[in-house]
Amino acid sequence: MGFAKYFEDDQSRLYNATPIEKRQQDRLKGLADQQQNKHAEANLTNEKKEKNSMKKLKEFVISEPRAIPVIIIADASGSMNEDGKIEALNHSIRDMIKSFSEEARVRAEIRVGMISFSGESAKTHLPLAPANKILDVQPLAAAGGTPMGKAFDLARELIEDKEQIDSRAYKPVLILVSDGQPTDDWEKSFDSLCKSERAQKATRFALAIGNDADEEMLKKFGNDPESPFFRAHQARDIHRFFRAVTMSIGAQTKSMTPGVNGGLLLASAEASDDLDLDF
Amino acid sequence: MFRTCGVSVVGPYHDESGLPSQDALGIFGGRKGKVLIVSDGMGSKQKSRLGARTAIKSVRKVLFGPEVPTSRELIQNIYRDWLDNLPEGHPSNFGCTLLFALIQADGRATLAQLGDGVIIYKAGKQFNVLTPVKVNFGNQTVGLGISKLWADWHVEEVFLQSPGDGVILMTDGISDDLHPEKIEKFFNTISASLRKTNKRIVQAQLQEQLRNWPTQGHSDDKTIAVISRD
Repeated sequence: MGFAKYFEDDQSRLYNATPIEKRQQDRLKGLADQQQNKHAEANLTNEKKEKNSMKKLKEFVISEPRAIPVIIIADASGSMNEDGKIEALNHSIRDMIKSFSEEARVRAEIRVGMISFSGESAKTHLPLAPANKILDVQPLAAAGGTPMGKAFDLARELIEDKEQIDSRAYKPVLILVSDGQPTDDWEKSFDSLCKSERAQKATRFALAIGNDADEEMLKKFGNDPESPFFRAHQARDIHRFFRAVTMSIGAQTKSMTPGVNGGLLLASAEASDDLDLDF
Repeated sequence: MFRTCGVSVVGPYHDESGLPSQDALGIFGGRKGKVLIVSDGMGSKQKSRLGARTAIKSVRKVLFGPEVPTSRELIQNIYRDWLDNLPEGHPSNFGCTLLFALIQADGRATLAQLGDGVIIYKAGKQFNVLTPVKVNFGNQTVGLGISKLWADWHVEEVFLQSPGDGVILMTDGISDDLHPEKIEKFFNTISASLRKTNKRIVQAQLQEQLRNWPTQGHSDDKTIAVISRD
């Protein structure tokens, strides 16, 4: 008879000691294994469930791309009939929309809308829609006066409409094209546009066509620090302007910061609300 | 017991350009409790990546430092430490957002945010969103080095007292693409996973989800930090 080695456990010492012990040990071992398998299966099921629930994170995420709204405010007054201006404008806008719809590998969806103003009113000539879904644009027909203020009101209302432009969208781009002097109370409407919480964030470009355009007003409209005031003397200048705007917006859609054309604006502050910092 | 996890993935834009992520993430534990910190360098700022990483360090240092009587003073100290630790150059070059949560062992928590991104939380089983509803547009934000206004900060003291209570911090690369009406369910799903599943598994799954983000054309870096009470 020998002594059990010190590192043997009870089970191994007793195991095989007698046939009865062996059978009992095997039975207990079998039960223990069954229990272990049940636990393992339950854990696997729980893990699978959690994996499935994490997979379902997709259900919380919006699949549509974010949008850059581009709104053209087009002068369709009677003077635009002269020297091929309205034709050049119509062609340029069609080319711009076509170019946007052909953009590949973009990080934002470009949506285009157009507000026209002529006679004594302004209207939505083209409702805001993804560029690649705009099949055709009705050409602008020029007639009557230059109610630019009414166009500003419509533009402000469009930007403030959160169903048309949600807060996921990048800041809108407004493009104003005019060859004349406004014939309505445009200043009040422009002031409202600049004071609107959403509309004031829009990037604004302005194109003056010909020598009769209100340069002072159009310079005031444009707010992009990196884009100078534009003036078109000939139809081809209108094309150049729109090509430049198209490229600029197209570049933004591929960039890290779509909707950012210039530097961020510093918030102005009341001295008493400032944190005490040295910069 | 509080469980934490956090994940940060580089967005397609930086990935394809061979650039590093501009997001930064920190999750720390100490005597005072646990701290979650998320910062997003502003894309247009050249050195914003460094700004974001410095912000993580500053928050950690100040939150685990001496007590201060008010949140305003706490934030002022963080901001000053951040400014002091920037290399040469105007602070705006290092502009970044900042979201953080300090959770003490008894459940008392301080939540604070400057700039874009979202903080959501459940306290006493009641779900809330710290971040005000966005009125304006994407890429319109304030941040460290940009704003000095106390009014630009959103700060709250809450009490995470019940099982299932917790906080999630996210950069706007995630939050801007979430269905607003499903955000509570989003919170519940992630929070429950963290409590029931191994942390490493949760992190791996979150990482996979963020890398395969379903929003068409998404480009931004994505960072999320989670804490949940058992």
